[in-house]
Amino acid sequence: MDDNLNIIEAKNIEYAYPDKTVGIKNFSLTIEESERVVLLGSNGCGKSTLLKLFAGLIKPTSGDIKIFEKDITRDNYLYFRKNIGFLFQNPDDFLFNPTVEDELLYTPMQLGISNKKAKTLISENASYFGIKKLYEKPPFRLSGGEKKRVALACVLQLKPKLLILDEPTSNIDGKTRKRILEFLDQYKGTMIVSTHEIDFVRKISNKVVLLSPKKEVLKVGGIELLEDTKYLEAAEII
Amino acid sequence: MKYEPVEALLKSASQYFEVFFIQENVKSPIRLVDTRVGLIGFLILVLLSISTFSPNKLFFIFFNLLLLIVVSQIPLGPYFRRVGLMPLFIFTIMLPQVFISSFEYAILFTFRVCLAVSFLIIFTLITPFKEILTSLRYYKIPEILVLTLSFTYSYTYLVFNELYRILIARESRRFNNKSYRKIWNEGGELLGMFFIKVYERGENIHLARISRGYSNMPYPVKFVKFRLIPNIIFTAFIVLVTLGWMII
Repeated sequence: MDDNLNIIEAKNIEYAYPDKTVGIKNFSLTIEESERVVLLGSNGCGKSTLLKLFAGLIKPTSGDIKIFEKDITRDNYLYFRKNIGFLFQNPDDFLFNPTVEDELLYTPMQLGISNKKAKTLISENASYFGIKKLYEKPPFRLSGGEKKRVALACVLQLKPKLLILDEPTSNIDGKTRKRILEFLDQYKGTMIVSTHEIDFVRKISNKVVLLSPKKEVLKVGGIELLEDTKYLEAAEII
Repeated sequence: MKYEPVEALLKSASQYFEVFFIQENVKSPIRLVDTRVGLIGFLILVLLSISTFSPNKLFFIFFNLLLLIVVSQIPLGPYFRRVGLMPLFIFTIMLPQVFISSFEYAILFTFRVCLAVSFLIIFTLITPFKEILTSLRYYKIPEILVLTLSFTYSYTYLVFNELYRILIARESRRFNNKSYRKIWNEGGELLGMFFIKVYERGENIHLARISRGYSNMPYPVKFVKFRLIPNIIFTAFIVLVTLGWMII
């Protein structure tokens, strides 16, 4: 990979839902390789919408977005899927297979990896997140923390170059939170995380994007931005 | 409270259907039979069940169903949870036939549908769903049908889970009795909200599928190792049942 690769280049992007509800307004941002970016903002400020745009799952209504310096087309679709790991805010939306093992095998199987290789691949993450004993269980019968761990293990299987996490620490216990933090600390790729937990931001990020309740960028900066109460108040974080 | 009987029924129904298709990974000797052989065998049993109105033939099939339940060692709890409501449901649909045709016709129709569904339930109880899908693909069933079945399977849980959540949420915020008219109005709103929520959740799940590499391509699943003897025994059983059905 090129040293100065831009992972995300968003220029004046806007997104409106089919019922004309504004998801994000006039948003521009460049994220370079290995940056650890946190989107910080109050509820409903457009964080989840932005993450879906960054993952190439939805297309902006207007403006231009490039991921890995490529436009999102049918031809390079598989490239994005292999290199972007996306964790949904609600694990119930993310887990849809009959058993936990099927969940873990889903992506490798979709990508045509052999059954034997896929099982070896999932084993490592399953051990790390302590979910091996849950293999035979249906995901919808797991607790909130277990669902989150299963979802995270699914996302990390292919060691994505870009990891996008939508509120990874919501509704989980302290032990799971600690495990996720440890993992993110070791992760070497580019990471974009949405949250409204300032403590969490301090531990994992080196770049902060503050979003205003009007669904626009308020300020982009380093973690020192977290000390500026004027901006945090304007973003309705405190 | 006026709401309770209707909502309690809806709640039980949604919980019931939520797990209706979810197989429990029941350990059974019939798992030794190759899924492709099992699929054909069980389909023959279903066809035999729905191809006759003869009480003798239906009781013969019923006897073999009981035999299969005993041999397959499936726990009766999950089996009856799935079959339990079925006769009542089918008989309610067949109720007009009591007056149009005869009571006997309605009973026999209900009986044969219950038998057919029972075989399918046993099969889905002991066979992982992905193996059933792979077997269908093995038999060159059009991909669109297999995909539709796969989505129906995944989304059945979603639909009833969402209904259950809405009912629980409503119950937690309900404080007083209202007129029946108001209850029906609210019921209509609930139904509308239910479809909107399911649609939205379905959309999110679709995005999750895409984010995890879903490409509309069937993925390979290896079957368990082919064992000759269990397959021969199962095939012999199917042949004997078919011959018995023809002779009676």
